[in-house]
Amino acid sequence: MKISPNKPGVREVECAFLRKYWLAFPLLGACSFLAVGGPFWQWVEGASISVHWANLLSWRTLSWAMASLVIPAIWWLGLHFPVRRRWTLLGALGLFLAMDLLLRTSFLQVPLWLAARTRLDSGQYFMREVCHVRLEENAGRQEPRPAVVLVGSSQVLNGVDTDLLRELLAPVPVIRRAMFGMTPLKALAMSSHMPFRAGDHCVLYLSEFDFTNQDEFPFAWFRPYASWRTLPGVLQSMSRRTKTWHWRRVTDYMLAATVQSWQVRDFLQQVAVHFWAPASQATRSGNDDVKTVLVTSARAELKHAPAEQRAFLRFAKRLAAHDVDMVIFEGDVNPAIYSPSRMAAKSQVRDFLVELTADSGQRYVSREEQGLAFTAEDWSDMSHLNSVGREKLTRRMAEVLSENTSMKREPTQ
Amino acid sequence: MLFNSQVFLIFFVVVYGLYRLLPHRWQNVLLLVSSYFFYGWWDWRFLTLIFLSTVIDYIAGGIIYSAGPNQRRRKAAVVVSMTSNLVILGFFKYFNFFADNLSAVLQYAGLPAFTRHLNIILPVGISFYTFQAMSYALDIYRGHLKPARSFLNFATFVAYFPQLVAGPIERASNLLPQIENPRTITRAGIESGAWLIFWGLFKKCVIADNLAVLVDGVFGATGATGATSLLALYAFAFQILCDFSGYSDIARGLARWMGVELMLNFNNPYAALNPKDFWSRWHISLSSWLRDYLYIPLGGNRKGRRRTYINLALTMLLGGLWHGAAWTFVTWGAFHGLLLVIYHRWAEKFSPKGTPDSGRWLRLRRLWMFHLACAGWLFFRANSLGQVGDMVRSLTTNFSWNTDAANMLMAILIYCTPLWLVQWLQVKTGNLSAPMELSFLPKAALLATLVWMFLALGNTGGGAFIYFQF
Repeated sequence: MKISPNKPGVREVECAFLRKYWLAFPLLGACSFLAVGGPFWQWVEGASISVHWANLLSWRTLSWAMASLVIPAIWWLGLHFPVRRRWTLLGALGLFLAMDLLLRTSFLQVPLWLAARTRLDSGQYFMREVCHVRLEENAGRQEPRPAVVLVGSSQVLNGVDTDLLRELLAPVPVIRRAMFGMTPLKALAMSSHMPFRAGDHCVLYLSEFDFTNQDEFPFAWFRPYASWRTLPGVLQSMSRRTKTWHWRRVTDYMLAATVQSWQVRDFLQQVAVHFWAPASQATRSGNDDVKTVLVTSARAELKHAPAEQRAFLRFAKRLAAHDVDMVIFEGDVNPAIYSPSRMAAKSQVRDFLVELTADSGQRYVSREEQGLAFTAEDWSDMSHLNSVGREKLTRRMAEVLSENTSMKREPTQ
Repeated sequence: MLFNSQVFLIFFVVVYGLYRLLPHRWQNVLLLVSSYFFYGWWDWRFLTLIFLSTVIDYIAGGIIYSAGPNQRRRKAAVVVSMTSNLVILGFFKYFNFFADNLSAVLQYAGLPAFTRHLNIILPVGISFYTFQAMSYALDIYRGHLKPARSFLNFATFVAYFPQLVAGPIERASNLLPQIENPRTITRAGIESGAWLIFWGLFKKCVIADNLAVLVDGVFGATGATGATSLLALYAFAFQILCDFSGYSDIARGLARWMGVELMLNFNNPYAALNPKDFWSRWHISLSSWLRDYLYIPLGGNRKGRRRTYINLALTMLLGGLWHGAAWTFVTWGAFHGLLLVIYHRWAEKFSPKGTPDSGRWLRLRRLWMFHLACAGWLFFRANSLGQVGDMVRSLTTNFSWNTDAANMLMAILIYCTPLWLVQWLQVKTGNLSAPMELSFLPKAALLATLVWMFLALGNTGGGAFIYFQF
């Protein structure tokens, strides 16, 4: 809609812009190359930025500047040889796909996860752990030897001292893939980000606590791990009613599995909003309510347990397909909250796990076999061990793993 | 039902699919049914209000027209129409405001307080469709319009879903003929409509909803520094622009897909050079409504300078009150009234005639006007007049630059840069479709970036549009 007929046309404005600013492109190209050489990584790590302007004159920077001239050249060509509208749309699609593919490469993944991690509040546990996992994933698994892969919820994060376990099991590598709030359904969703290799041991710490997902469709949890390799299994584990009711979340999940920009959006937004540094103390969101709940209660509702059990069966099948052994340690919660209903749930989940491991020849280490009688002094709240309990569990876990599995076998070739 | 929701997407796909299959008359039936469904999705009980307003204005319009030269009858019908519309609007929107203030005045005077406070839900978009319906009766009364050919057409005009809850406030003279006559859907209309819908969604989801988080963080807390307060004010200026103009763009785009051309509601308001120019670019459908049905009937500029100023101030004051029943909105209206009065006085005395401004002077004037608009937004956004005072104090006494301010500045730059580029091009060329007329590379780059930003940074929480509350 033309509002003012006396003004120049779009083409004239573009030509004038190119005539006036074409030199800005090589200059910006040189500056961006210069930034990648140092200031960019300083920004990623939230450090103060220093620029060595003298590097502008290096042959690499200058050649990058020359390469940047291709942009005004294509622009000029587009002005003088107009293309059909559909080619422009195809060009836009191509550019978008290129941007999305570029975001998948470690060239951008590493700075993204590092930048996001640097800008998180201390209370953003889940996002911090996602950054940790994705960074480790980008670094790749160097060690050829079969490893112990620790999978579980915050009970594992808080209850198992990974460094101590590494020390006790050395030279066997220990990889942590536990996440806050992880349940079997979430473990299945995340399994494409678990670096399993044949001969690995997947160690789980499971109890009724882990089958009590409170959210029927935890899409915020799924999104950063979405992948078409695991998505069908996750959706098949859910009931048809759940999928129909949460069709918007299903759409979100599928989009995240397809488009990287959508998958990492929470983290990109974190960087955009906290561009220079995390929020100051005054504006941080408090997690006091969550802490209060953890101290006084632990979830016990088995409403969504059927879906969790189906997901666990799929997860176990996936491990078997990768020739990965499974070792399940029976989990526990603070005895202060034992109740008849919790005990019933506990025994229900225990029967399910015992039956499953018996059928598949996997290892189930019951509480009795662990021989650990945690008292109230071993817990920091209703579901997480404190440092005393953590050390007890880690040492016992290391003993069981060393005694009962072929951990010390030679690296696979 | 929000435009930025998946439910609306399904609703529109179904309605539009049927719309393309049906003949004209049945298209109007479909539009009416779907419009009532669209509104009833929020709260079906308030459909009775729209229906009541529609029936009253339809009958009043018929009586006014058929009364011919009988002035008494014409006047009686128009008075009934205006009164009933204003009573409905006044009750639902302003009852508690006036009751609370009356109570405060009585208490101040030492008289027994008026304690009635009703628990009233404000029907979404009531101010928009009431004004739209009122313009119909008024236009017939003035002889500018003939009554609608059928009740179906008129009801569709009042409830037309793309612009029902947040405008543009259409005039019957523009929209009614398009509803009464068969519509043509062109390929150009589909393409430009698609751009308007996408650009509107981008402005809403990427810019407005993300800036809202920053703005709410400052206005919802105490102890913000002057720097963060100032940046929150800038952020709000772009939030409200993108929220409201985003809605208008989507509405215009959807209507264009149906072969209907809605009026332009925003024309780069922050490119305005002065308060008068601002109001010819901001919420054009409301400002022109107020001009035609309030300012001019009050006498406009025909009754001397002093009366002109009073009319301007009064029009803007009521325009402020139209936005909401709170003193912050009234003060915002009064502030703009004052700006217009000062500008008119200044223009009469000092404005040089016939010499166009240089580029640099134009930019300065735009910047100045933008800051005046921002000052107005402080009243508009503040939770109370006390908060206005607190923020002004922090601006003048505690202007400390910190990490939060630096982060906020960058966030504003990241979210708003596409908006500024598009608006720069539109203002430079005087062409609102300019982004779609770019050559290959900039257009492809712009579209790819917008889509990428929409997916990566768009806020999909489905935040309601600010103007729904008006």
